[in-house]
Amino acid sequence: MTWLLLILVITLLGIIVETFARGVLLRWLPIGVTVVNIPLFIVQLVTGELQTTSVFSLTLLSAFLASITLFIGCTASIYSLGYVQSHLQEVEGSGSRQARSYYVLFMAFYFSLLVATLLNNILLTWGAIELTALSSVLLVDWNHTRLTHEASWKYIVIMETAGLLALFGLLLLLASTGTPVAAATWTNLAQAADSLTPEVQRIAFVFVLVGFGSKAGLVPFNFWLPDAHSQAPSPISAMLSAIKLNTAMYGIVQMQKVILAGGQGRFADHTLLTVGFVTVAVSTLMTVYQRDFKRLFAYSSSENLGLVAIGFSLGPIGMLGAYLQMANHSLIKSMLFYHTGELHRIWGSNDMRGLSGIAQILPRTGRSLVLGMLAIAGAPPFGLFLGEFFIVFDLLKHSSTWLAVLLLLLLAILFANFLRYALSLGYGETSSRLLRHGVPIEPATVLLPTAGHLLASLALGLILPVIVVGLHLTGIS
Amino acid sequence: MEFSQWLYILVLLLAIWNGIARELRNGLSGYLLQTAFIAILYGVAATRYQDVGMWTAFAGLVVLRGIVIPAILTKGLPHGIIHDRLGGFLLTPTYLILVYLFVASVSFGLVSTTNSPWAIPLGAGLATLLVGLLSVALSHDAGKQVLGLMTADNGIDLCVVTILPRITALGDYVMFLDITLTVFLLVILMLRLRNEQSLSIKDYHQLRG
Repeated sequence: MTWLLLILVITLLGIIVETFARGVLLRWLPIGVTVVNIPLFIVQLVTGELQTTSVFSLTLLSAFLASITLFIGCTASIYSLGYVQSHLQEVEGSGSRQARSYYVLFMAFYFSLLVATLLNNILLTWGAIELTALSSVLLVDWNHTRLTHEASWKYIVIMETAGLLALFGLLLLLASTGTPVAAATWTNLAQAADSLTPEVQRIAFVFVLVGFGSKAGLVPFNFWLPDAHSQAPSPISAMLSAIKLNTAMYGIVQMQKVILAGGQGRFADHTLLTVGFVTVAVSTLMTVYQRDFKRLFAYSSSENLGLVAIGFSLGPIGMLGAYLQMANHSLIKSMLFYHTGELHRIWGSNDMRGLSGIAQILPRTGRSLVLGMLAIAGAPPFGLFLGEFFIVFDLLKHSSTWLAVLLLLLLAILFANFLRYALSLGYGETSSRLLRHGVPIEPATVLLPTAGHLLASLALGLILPVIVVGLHLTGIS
Repeated sequence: MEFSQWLYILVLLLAIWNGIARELRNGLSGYLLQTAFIAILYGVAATRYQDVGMWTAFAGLVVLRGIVIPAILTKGLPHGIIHDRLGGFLLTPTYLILVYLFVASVSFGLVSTTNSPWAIPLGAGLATLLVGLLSVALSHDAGKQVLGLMTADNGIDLCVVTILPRITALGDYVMFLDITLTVFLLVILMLRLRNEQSLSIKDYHQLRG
């Protein structure tokens, strides 16, 4: 775990240095740290096996989520470079102080997202998931407007409420184990789970699901999500949507493993399936009439996490679908939020009404936006299509045909919505307001990360079927 | 009933007191009394187990929960917010008490189904937690919402007392620091809301749909 520790130490040192940094160092240090962390993590994966110690837990799921965090954290830091600079050009006055607060909180947020999925201690994992919310509250309120105050107040109150409910569920389990748990780790709790009564397990799971489910944006606890996502700066919206929701889902999945070990797996699966379905249904319907493109993408995040919840409630194929859904949603949603930052700069608001013909003024941005919106709606050959395919397939195999048909219907509604929005935004009649500051430029800090994300999702969609078919042909299940 | 079990019930009653307190100052007094009772429970456990880690947790509780959090509130917020009469309750105090008592009964009933040997501590903990969260939901005032979250956190601490021998002091400090940082951030946001001329959350409802 040496390399893992090094990554965390470098990030912590980065936060400290960033607090006192100025000028170029202030702007470039987050990029340096997030770029360096990627090869270090690869070295950790190559040289050390997936293993669990009393402090760290590097399982397949945590390594997978940490990889997403490292990649999105890196592209978000690159995108932030141009975003913060252009934002502070618009806001006169306390520019450097605001830039410092942004970058320091950005690094703290990145650290909390990274560490949340790598810890084995239950209370430390809970604390890290809490820190993901606390470190991002002032980022949501970074623009200091009445609307950002409203969003950030709602955000912190709901996050704290959710955190306390989840913690009660965890404490109930710890207090009820018949044999004393040597240390409050996920591993020890799973081993002691068979000494828990079914009632304790069920009540604890419901509390954890409500708590972490609120943080993951699952309906009916997701009312903070569109507000926080729409008011935060675009790189932060990207990280909230692409990583933070995953870390909360990680908490639910860890709890699900404990309940499974305690013999209450079916209860957990059914509850998760129900909540997942309700989330997909409500979020899909909420995307029908949206005026704000960031709120539209926020509801889509909720819908995707609902699909992930459904996937984790099914068998191995559904779980593979959930993994794919998480990875591809993170890749595509973050690039869409990067584009919203550019659109806001050029268009002057997040209101989609009257906004159309982007591809004619900004050809690369417009095309990328349209492709991203189709990809997030599940269009082939992007990876999200594959994730949804696996989930529906396993739903047919292990659950009910009617549920699978209903899910397909909801996904069709969502696809139709996004197709309508994408065509209108990208290829409708060009809005003259897009040219209010002259012909806008398309900065590399936007084009590079967004193209990278799109290509990565495309690769996941194209290469994975080949691997799966290859494994099938060689007889490996 | 053991002496310590009376302390659990007292913490719950103080949560109800906090939930109907009309001034932040009164609620803060209730919060401090709750923290003092929980500190006694920590102290009793630390003495019984002769454990340095538990005494470290006790010190953290007293310093962070008993001193730092009240200081953040009283030093960070203007005098008026602490002493003025609060409005924005959705129910009258009588109905509030009835709702809180109902929630407390449900909490004890729920925990009793688990046949846990810790039925009273966990029941009181859950009841305190839910009363705190309900007082957040049933008031529009930002100050009352902060107080509700602090009360709810005391409910969690009641549950922690039951597992003190099973967790490290680090685990305790994670929880103490979480609420301390939360209160700190809430105070910052309250000051920003105050600059917008209102601390009533009812006045902030533009983000919808």
